[in-house]
Amino acid sequence: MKGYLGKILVVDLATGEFETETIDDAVYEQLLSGVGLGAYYLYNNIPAGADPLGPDNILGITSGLLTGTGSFMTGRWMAVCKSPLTGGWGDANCGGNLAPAIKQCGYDAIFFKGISEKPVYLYLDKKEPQLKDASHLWGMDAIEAELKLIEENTGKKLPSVATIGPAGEKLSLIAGISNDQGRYAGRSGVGAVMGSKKLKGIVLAGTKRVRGERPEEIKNLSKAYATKMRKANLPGLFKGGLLPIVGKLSAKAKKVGPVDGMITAMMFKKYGSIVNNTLGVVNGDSPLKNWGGSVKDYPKKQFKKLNPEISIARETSKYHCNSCIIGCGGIADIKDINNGEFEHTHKPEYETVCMFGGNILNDDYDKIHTINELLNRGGLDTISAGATVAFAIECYEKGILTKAETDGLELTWGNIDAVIALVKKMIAREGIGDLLADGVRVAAAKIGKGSEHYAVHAGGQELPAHDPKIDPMLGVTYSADPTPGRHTTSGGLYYKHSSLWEFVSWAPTQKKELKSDEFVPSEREAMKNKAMTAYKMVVDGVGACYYGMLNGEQNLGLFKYLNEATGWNKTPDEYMETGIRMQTLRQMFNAKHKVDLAGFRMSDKAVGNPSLKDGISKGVTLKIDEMIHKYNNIWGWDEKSGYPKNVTVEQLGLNSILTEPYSYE
Amino acid sequence: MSEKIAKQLPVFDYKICMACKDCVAVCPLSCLVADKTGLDKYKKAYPRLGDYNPCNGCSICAKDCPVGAITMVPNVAYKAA
Repeated sequence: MKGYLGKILVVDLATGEFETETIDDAVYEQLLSGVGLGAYYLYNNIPAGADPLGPDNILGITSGLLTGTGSFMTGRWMAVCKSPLTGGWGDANCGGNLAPAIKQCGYDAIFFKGISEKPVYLYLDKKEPQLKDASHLWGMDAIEAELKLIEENTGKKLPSVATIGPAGEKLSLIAGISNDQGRYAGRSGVGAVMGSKKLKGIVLAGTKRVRGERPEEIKNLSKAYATKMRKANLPGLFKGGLLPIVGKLSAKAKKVGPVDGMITAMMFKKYGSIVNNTLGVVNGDSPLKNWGGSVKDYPKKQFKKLNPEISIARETSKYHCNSCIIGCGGIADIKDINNGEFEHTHKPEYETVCMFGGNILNDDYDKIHTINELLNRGGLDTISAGATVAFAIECYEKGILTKAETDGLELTWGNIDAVIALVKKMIAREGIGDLLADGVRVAAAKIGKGSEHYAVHAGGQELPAHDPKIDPMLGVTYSADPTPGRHTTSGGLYYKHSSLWEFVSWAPTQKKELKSDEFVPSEREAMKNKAMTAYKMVVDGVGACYYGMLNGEQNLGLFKYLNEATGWNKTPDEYMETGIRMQTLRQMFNAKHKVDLAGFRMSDKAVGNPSLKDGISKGVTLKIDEMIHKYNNIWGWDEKSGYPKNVTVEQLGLNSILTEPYSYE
Repeated sequence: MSEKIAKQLPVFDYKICMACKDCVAVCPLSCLVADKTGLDKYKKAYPRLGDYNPCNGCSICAKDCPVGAITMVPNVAYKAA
């Protein structure tokens, strides 16, 4: 076995029929699995112009090529579909323990087409798949439904389960898919697509073993990686109160060079993503006051209340996703918060803390835990929900939304109790919540009155909590990637962690360079972005974790893992070409569906137009249009439309695996 | 009906274990749980054989552990039976 199984399950929810399809080895060689396999199937099978919430859209749940092979940091699953949020290619990525369960059922991926007449869930083990009635689960929150499904379906093997919450059922365009009681494939509106199909859950209880070609060699790689990770520990004296100083030092640095990924691993082992809570405020990474503020608006006396030690003190335990050796996740005890509304929650991620912290000028960290659990249960993406709340507050503060329109809620900056009430309304689609449940772009279009100036998004997807005005490569990714508004594909900081230049012949060497050079549109920066993105596609093809990626290829060793798992013995350059192919196919999907990619350009607020009046990014306006043109050129995509050129597709050999040859005029 | 007693059972070396939970995922009978804390300063949840489990000693967990942290040892109860 080459790590993959070579089979997919196609479920027709309209007819209740199942079909097992065999996938040629050539597809895996060209596109790996995960997002690559998803792009292959969706490009070929979703008709041009399909309604994202209609029967022609297809929802895929995919595993990674390396998932289950004994490789580390490769246990993530991906949801793929045509995004109802952006209208183009959609994917979302999640940890937990679902990914190996997909393969243990004998498939690399499961694709759902059509729409069921009544709510159903898929049950799958080593026998025939079944669609079971989910009427009794419809309306339940995502966690409650997961626990019920486990209770109803526990045989010899405890199943792994994915569900949607009420927000997905109600087709909120910012809804995600949950697994492991609150870990989310949050982005691209994948939960709305699942809801549109009346698919409440997926229950996986297979026991098939997954193997690579050379399992002992895979183990040797894992043992070496583990040895490094065991030693990666922050000194005991290091406390969260020091993180603003780290932020200050990084903000002051005039030159930037390669970053040792194992130091970043130390941070993640202790804190997880919340290591960035206060560090990000100080170095300008965290958007404040709906992307319009600075530390003047959110001073130290406030942001110090987001010290990650506060959340760490609530942790009853840390946990690892499948095959992870970092362990950034944690379960937080929250019985004492908000009158004991919930007993515990997954430790809120940095994105959640920032979107419901500095970006709405709130400093009550405890109640962010409550919001986190509300959203995890309700089924909304915390990034998009937080961004939409910030948008609503700014509209209220500017008089665009009145108290009568907010159902009496005082949506002022930092009014966290009003925000909790608002979040509940968004999940339930009640009153003002219905207006906001589809994210900022839809809300702004309905509200009008100039509110679009306060809607911070790219192509309809709310921007995450990383300001590109300190990392322009992020801004290009927000604006030009096939899934806009995402921070996990590429960025300057990731490239500095990657060490790709040591492996890939064409990846520009990252030396200690002037930070200011990153702000000048250049082919070199575009090439770095291309290399980082292509590598991230490999990451998404094998099911690897973004935090593993930040360990650097010299530690994570994906290229070596791939060769031991598949026996292909390819070079890093060849695997990077695979990544280029995956990224291009995702963009070809957008071309097929005639998505207006110019509309993916991120909002002016994020560009810095007008620029901020205070703070680290004071006066910064990104030359984003020039940067996007250079990015498109370097990929062999049309400079203005962003669609891949015919010659590019031919050179990558993509037509050989398409049902219809690609042709862009 | 008496339960079948396993000839051998998995034992974990927590100095080697990375808490990656691959063993929990591959166990065909879901005998393992990842809730053993107190072994390190991070409060990480490590795997262990669950209190109630139907382990049949198949050793898949030991074979698939990426770092060789699981050893199958003879089950005292089996010998007694």
